[in-house]
Amino acid sequence: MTTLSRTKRWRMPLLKLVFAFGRTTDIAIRRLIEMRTIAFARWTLLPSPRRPRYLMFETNWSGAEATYIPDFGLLMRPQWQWIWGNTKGFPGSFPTTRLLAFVAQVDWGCDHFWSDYDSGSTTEVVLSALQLQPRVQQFIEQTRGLPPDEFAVRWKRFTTDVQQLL
Amino acid sequence: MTVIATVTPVREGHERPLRDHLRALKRPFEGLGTHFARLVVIDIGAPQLLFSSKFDGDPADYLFRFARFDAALEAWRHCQRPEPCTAESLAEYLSHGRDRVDASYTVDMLPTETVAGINSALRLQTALSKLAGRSGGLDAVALSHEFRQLEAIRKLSGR
Repeated sequence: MTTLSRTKRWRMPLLKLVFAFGRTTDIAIRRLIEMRTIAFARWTLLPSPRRPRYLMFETNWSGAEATYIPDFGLLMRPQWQWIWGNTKGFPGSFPTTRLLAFVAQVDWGCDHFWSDYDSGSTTEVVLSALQLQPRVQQFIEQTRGLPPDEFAVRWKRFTTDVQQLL
Repeated sequence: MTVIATVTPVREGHERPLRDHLRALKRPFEGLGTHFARLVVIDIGAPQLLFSSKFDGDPADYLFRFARFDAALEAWRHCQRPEPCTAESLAEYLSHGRDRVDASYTVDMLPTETVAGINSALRLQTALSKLAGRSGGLDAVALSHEFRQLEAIRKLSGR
């Protein structure tokens, strides 16, 4: 997703203040992090050859737009308002049907997108894989040299413990 | 880990051909160590080519390898800059050009992991998932043997 929204006249200082606050703490995006759907997001104020300026939002996420945007809108209503409330045409994050229509209107999509991650890897899968790796490392060390019967018992316990990461 | 973005003015009348070209691109970023890269024709009062990328390694090396692709050169030849558009001038322009834009705010769930590290973790996860799925049908000797023979496990054991 690549959205472009025209900023409201006189709201640039406020928007800059919001981003400056965001750079000092992750308190405003904790719920976004917990959602584990967004891998990367960035907001950029673009200089435009004509006034007004534009707010560009780029994000990569996993999941369907029709479910992710409303979830994001409901969980982070104030944050949407702090950011897109300073842009023209933003209808508020609730009701989410209006939000979806707004996003569809300002989204330029992607003409070409590439990621070198192994195919089909969602953010959730990548994060789980990274969490799993040290657990496996630990399991290898704990089972090194064990006879097969003992290994099988430990394996069963291990796969039960990490099943959510597999 | 580097994140860059440029917004380059498109030549008059070239918006449609550029968009068609970008949509037909064949993997110009493959194997360069790219977490994410996007190319989009946007309009902020005039059409512009947005290029943004998050990648591993040395930025100059990455951008030069990307700029050597004919497809990349062709994309920027639809743009007003750099002029002339060669691999060297494009790499230099993407590295230090006047159209670089900096993000005001970024959320990055994977700020330190490399592409190689992520893919290695993904392969380990896939291999273990498959083994877990069929381990019920294996006896203890076969299970222990198969686990230790997994390529991802051998790589991890060798660390």
